[in-house]
Amino acid sequence: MLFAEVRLPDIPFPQVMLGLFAIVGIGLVLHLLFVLATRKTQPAIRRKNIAIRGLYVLFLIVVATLAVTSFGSILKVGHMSGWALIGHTVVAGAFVFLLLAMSAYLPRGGNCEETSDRWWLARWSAWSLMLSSLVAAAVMFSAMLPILDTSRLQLAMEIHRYAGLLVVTTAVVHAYSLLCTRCGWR
Amino acid sequence: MSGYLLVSQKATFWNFAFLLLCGQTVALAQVRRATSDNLSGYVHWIELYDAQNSVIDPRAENAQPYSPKNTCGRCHDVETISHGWHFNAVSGVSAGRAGQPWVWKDARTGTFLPLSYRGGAGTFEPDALGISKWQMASQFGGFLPGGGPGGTEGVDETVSEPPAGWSNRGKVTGELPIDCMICHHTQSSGYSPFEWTEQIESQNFAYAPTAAMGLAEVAGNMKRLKDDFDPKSEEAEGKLPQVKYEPTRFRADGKVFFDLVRKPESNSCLYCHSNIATDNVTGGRWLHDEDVHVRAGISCADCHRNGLDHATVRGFDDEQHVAGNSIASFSCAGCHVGSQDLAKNLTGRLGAPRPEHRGIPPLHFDKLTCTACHSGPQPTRQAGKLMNSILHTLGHKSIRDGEELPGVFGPVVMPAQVIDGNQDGSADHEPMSGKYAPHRMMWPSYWGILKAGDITVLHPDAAYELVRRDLKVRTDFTPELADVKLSLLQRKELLGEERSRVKEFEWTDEEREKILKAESKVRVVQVAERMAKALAAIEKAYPDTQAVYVSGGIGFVRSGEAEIKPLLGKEVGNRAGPVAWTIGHNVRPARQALGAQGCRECHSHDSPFFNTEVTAAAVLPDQPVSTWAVADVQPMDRVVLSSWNELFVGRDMFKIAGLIVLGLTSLLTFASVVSRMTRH
Repeated sequence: MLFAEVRLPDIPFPQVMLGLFAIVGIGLVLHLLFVLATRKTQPAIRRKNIAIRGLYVLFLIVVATLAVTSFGSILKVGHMSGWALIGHTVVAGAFVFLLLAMSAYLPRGGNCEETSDRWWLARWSAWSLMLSSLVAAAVMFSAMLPILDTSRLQLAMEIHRYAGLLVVTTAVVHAYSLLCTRCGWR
Repeated sequence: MSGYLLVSQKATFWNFAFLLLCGQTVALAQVRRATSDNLSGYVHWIELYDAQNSVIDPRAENAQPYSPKNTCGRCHDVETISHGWHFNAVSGVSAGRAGQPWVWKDARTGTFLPLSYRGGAGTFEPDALGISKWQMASQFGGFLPGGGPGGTEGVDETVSEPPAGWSNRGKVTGELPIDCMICHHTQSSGYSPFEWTEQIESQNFAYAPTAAMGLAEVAGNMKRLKDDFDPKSEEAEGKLPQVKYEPTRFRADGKVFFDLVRKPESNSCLYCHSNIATDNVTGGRWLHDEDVHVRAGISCADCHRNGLDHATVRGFDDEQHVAGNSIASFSCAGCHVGSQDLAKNLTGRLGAPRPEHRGIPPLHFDKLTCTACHSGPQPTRQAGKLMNSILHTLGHKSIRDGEELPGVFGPVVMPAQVIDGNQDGSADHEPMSGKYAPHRMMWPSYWGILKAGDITVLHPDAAYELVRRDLKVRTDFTPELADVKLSLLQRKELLGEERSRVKEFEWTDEEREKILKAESKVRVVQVAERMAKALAAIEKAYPDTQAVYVSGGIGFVRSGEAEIKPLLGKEVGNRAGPVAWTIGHNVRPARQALGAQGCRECHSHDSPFFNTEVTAAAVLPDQPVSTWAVADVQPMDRVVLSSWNELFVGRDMFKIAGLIVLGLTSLLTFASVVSRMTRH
């Protein structure tokens, strides 16, 4: 039975969200300090493919918009409604199509061939971003089809929320990892 | 038996005394009595007792009508029962969700006044209008099971300075008795609720149970007796209705068979609670389906249950039972959802099918009642006209055309109690936070006086006395005011000398058009003249005020000797606004529910759900009426709604494209994983 046995933590989602953001934020700041203290003096990497860079920036903008329209709305009024919901729905459509393009290069670090010497944080955050995005999108698409009943739809919404939360945090971590590698610190 | 009765009556006395001492209502005193407790039910061969508690002898010369209180009350706790939902409107029992109001109808003056003791937005409190409880019992008792305003509180009511129109003939008619059989009879018993209604209309309150049960013929009409008639006087005997019992209904030992059931049959409920579309009365009844639950063999009382206290479950969301019982399981969700805990996965009552609502976002269940999608007629852009047994006296034998007043319209889907009460002077419509539910609605029509921007509603009988001479209406306000006939001179001017005398059916289309146009002009003048005179008569009786006739959401006031003018919006205040009450039945099956055809059934620019319009019924001929849009009261931003609806255009294509893209994305990701794993 689809989703029948899935159990999610019995903690209010806004608390989980704020907690995770706090942990990731503090973690990244501490990590940045650590990276700066132990930075390597490698030459900064400059990507030449403008299209891929543009795509990546667009993807981050879409993720940021989805985050603001969903989590911002949840924090402000407790649920998604009105313009925030409309904005989220419209941008989510773009997200699904961008995801296809991203799947072609993100796991390979933007190159057409896999690079084994990529920094582990960039590699794993890219994989996490890809997989959590897939889960978030797939769950929502399954919810749009006449497949799931009410209780499973509720569960699907919860999974979508947590997957979305993971998308946002991994996107932040991935952007951070790229910053470190582009600057030549790692 | 007698020994038991003695004990029982003693117990009742001490219980009563104790509760009085505690300052509690008698309603709480549920006295334990001997019961059969056999599921087959008790066969009621019982003696009849009259109001004096004497056994009735059917052969006696001046036999009295039987008293349900003394007959049924020998074994049943009538005192407790008499405080149940159907009897306690005047007792200040919490209303919960507003129900259908009582509508005082006076066809002679075009009065359709929604009344309620329980409150409810858009209704008027009878006491505040000077309507006595006896008058309420007399007016509406035909569709009451007795008691209520016609009970002790009604007949004992005394007023030192009665307001205009106030009347209490309780000393003549006696109480309106609670007739247990009106609900508990079987369809085949011969009990006639129609007879009950006719007896109440004749003010034969005490005789109605006997006549309705067919135990006796009742000859006489207490309505004809004067207000100062004393039924206990010596000469009263010959003037009171005569009761002639049917001897074959009595066994040799004087006992009578009461063909009754503990749980009322649906037909008993439907006598007062029939709701139909207007085409039912013009031959279209066979085109309509029954309530899906009734069709499945479930009766009204299966869900709308009660215990001895007769506090009937109404079945709406979050209903609080007056006795504090847990009644959540008697709602829609109680049967169809059961336990919310998926782990337990318990079914609801009778193992009713659990609705899957596949693909419907759960948000809908936070915003909508079950009935919003599953009950009443399908919503339409222009709300349809509906009829109800109490409001339109269905049950009376008459030829109906579906245009009977008051005009009731629906369904209109909006948050429950969306129409602001008109008691506090606040805005007409206020956004409400309740769940969306289907409603019926009607506009009040009444006479009143306008002073400092506030309307005081006149007692319908007082208004009649003031306006009847000038209105020149004998029985029916709307058709009689509209009835105009052109004089021969006028017809000559229109049709010429030769054609002026021909019969109506000989007119050509052109001639008919001319005549209708001319009649319309005359009608406007006639209505204005008579109304202006009637309004002037009220102003004469109430100096320094402006008389007003409110109908269809508009107030009409005098403008000169023979002219009237409409008052709109704030000018007439919020006492002209519509009253609405929720629709519970008929319940439609899942495949006929709103949304079964897809999201766009509601999420489109012209969907009835968000765009129903209602035009008030025209009571005053050839005069404007209000048009009301549900969009004005649904608490939502229409621009957001419109934008949201746009997202549903081409949604199916988006789903297909999205699934393909997601599939490709998954494949690419999977390929990357495989590639990485095989490389190592």
